[in-house]
Amino acid sequence: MTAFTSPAGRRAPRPRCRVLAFTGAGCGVLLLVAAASVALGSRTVGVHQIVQGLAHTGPADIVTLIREVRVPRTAAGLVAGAALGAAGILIQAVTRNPLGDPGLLGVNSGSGFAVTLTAAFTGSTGVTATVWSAFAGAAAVTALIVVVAASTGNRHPGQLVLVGVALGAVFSGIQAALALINPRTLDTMRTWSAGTLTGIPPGTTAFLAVFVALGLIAALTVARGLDMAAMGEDLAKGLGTRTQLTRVVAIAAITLLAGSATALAGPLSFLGLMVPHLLRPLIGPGTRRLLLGSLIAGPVLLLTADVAARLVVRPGELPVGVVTAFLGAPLLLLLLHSRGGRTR
Amino acid sequence: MRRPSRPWTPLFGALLAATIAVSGCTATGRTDDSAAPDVASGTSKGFPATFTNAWGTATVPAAPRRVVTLGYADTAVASAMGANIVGAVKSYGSVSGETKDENLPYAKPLDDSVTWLDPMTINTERIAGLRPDLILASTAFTLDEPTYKRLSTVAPVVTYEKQLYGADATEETLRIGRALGDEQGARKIVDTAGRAVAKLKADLPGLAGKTYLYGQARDGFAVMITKETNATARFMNRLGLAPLPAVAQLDGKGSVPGAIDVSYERAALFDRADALFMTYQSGALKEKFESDPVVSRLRILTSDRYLPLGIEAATALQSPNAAAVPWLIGELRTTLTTVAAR
Repeated sequence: MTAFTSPAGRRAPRPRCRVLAFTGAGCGVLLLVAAASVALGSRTVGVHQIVQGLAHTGPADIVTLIREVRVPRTAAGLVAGAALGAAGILIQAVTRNPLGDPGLLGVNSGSGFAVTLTAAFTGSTGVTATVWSAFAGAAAVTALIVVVAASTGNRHPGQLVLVGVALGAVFSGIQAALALINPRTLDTMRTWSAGTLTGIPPGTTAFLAVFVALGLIAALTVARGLDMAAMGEDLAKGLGTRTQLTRVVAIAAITLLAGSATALAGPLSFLGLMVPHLLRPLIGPGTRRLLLGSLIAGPVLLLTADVAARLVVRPGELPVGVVTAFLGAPLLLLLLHSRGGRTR
Repeated sequence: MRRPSRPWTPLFGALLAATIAVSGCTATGRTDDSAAPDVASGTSKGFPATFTNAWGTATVPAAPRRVVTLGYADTAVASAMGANIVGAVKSYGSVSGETKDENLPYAKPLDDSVTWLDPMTINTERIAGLRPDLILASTAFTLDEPTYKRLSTVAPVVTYEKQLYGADATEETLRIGRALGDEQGARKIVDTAGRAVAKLKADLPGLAGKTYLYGQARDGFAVMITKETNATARFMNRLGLAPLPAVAQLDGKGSVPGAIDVSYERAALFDRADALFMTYQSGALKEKFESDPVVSRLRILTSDRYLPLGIEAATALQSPNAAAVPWLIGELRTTLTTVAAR
């Protein structure tokens, strides 16, 4: 077996050991963060009351707070965090662009555009209308991007990014115009675009979790093909990878993952971008491993941001999107600085 | 060293000055201006009148004949005083698409010839085209310094003195009255508002000392008005109501001056208030507030003591101007009657 040594000559941990160590420590951290998400908030609740709330044996207000507010919020954070992390990994793998995140492929602008249209022309600004229009918008715009990119005849992955950025700008422009014309639409968009995990009905989280699971299965299916394609189209084809099919399935998975996350929590920035950069130095560049790692790292980051959002301005709250953006950018810069600018 | 010349600057300046002068001459020369109501065509007593604004001073040289109103208090007070309003901001309900009527529900309907303006974007060019000789902007919520400077080249602009919604309703009304040359008329509006408040208090003596919460629902929290630096709190105080101490004494910050942000997790506190008035920026926020697991279990939410305010009432209550007070009291009366009877 090959010995792994660091440049200084010290033995570095074997990849499998690193993965096992990451999985063990990561699951521990995830449990802690999830527990904090149930325990901490604007209202201070003792450990005994939390247990009573979970067991449905405490006072009615505590049971409501724990079981109907904090647990569903934590569940939404777990699903949206995992989906955004996995979507970020897939987008960076498909576009071979280290800046890839759901915003780059136009998923966020597609969702935002659909939410704006729904609010402006139907007057529907309720939770259900917003969630489903966001999901439909993400799916429709991603499909449009793929079709437009394919029609250009250029199969380079960078073409997808360019088309995504261009169409995203068009939709954002129309969205801004509609919002400016109608203040009610502006108010809806201002709230939605801040990103939040509050008030999401558990049924909606459960339903979208099915789409996230389907997206993950699809992503894991093509993970190896994406690794092959990263070595070059010709080499990948030579090794038997159907690169076009791999890319199509990956984009469908991105739509399911990012669309579900955006529908659940709004357009959260930096999470999809940050998770791959955080994981690569810990568990290596393999897409399959990264995808599985994102199921831990994504929720940890999102729930940490959400707990911070509840505590920093007590007795009020901040939208979680504000915290992910505020913490995400410096964290990413720190990460890149510590790695000397390497992106893979 | 010779400075590079800028031949276009003086030419452009001269053209701009000429355009403004021509439009000013045209305005005073129009015959239809003589049809302006008493307030505009009346005595020039009190002019020139100078006003200290947030971004400078403005002098109204003579009784105005063509008035543009950029705030809701400006429209309501000026129309109540019979000013010749040639341009006014549309009601917020019509801008948001909730109603079709551009007129404010508490103001005298404006003439059909009035030009309706968008309160969200102040269009200087459009306003200049109306050839006003006075622009009232004492509650123009989208006005900023650059826009004020641009508008000041069109006509004298009267804004708030220090900050938006910072003035007392009486002070604000008298200021508008002075700009229109009819302080007497403004005082009558103030007196009418005072009588409406006094009548309510006489009809509902039980209202004195009762507590209220007035808030705007946001995503996961409500912005609750607690301090008298806020115009709504001052109005509620006039009615004899006090902000709920349990919320007012919370240690925290608010998204707007004189308010505190309260997470829905702490919503159990809302049940202690005698009255709960809420406003919503969107249907989604109303749905989220009312269906929140903690909020939806509040007793007050299913009682007559909870009043979700419509868009016009919410806008009027944000800065209750004297002309709106009788109408506002009518909007709140049913809830206040229930509260007073507790």
